[in-house]
Amino acid sequence: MKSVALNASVRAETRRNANKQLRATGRIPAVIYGRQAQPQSLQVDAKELENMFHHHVSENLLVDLTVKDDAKPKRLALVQEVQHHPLSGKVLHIDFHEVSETEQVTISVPVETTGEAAGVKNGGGVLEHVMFKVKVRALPKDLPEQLFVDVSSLEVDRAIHLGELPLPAGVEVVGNKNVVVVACSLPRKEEEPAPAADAAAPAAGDVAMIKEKKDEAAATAAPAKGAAPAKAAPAAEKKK
Amino acid sequence: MAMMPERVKFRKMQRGSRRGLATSGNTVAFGEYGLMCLDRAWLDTKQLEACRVAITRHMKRHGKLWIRVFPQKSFTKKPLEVRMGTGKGPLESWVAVVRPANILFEVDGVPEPIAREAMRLAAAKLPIATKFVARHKH
Repeated sequence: MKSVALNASVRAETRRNANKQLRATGRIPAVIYGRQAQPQSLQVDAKELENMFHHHVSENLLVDLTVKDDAKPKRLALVQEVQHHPLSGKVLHIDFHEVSETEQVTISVPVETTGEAAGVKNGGGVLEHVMFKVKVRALPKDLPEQLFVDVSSLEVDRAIHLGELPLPAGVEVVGNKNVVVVACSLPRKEEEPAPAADAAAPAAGDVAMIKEKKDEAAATAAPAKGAAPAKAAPAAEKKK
Repeated sequence: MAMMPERVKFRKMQRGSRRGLATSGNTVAFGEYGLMCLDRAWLDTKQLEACRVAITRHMKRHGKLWIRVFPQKSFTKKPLEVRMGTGKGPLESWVAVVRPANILFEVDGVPEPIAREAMRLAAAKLPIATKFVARHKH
């Protein structure tokens, strides 16, 4: 993975309101952490960040951070997490994971399929993408931005497993190698219900109730204590 | 078949609140394309069923469909011309509480134009604004 240059500066203000104000000025709050250094709050330019993500297919990037006004201005980091606004998709916060060039790291990499599966083309099957991300371990410079799987030879009822993924040199997959990543299967036939069946659909109130535990406990306890209910019954009559 | 819970502990519920954005179920998690709602609403079983039928018919039973919301909540209504009081009314229907950013449906195994049209047809059955979303940005 090629490293991308990015400028950042130290952020003194924390808390929610300060971060809101920061975003309003076109800066994005960020944090950097790692094994070697203490966590530090940073801020990056929103436009520069958007531009960086726009020119890459995935958010898995190796970044050459230049931190202004800091004792250690040059840092190599991985983009660990990007928080987006759920509706607008704008970047809200970014986590950088400081890494060493000589130390292996484990990250999740997206898996993409290429080609049209033979089972889909000829057999009427559906391609099922089971795992969208896989964990890989490698040196930062060897890490792939994403993995590609050629599914053109995939027949119906066949699958590609984690152990069968084509990996670049120096990269190893972490996890159970027998887990299915991509599969091709026949679609389930869904039968349209007849109009008569619609008429017999259950009403909203026709729902079964989960029995209360209290009732069950009372029902089981009653036969065991044979004398107790007999005493209780006359007492109830007296009350009346 | 109408969507409703099989068994419940309590039949009648309080109305609850629908404030805020969806904090879960707001990403395309299973398929390639999805329908995101931009408003808050109660979607009842009939609306969800109408959407499901519209999507499956347009996709001609190809591909795969995920319905990401389920009507877990019951709501009651008093019958017509009934005076107030004398307890809560009978069950009217079951609804799914949706908030902005909730993904309602997801599809996979069909080309984008078909998925887009299927979602447009489904959105026409709903009382809220929605938008088409894709897993990959093109």
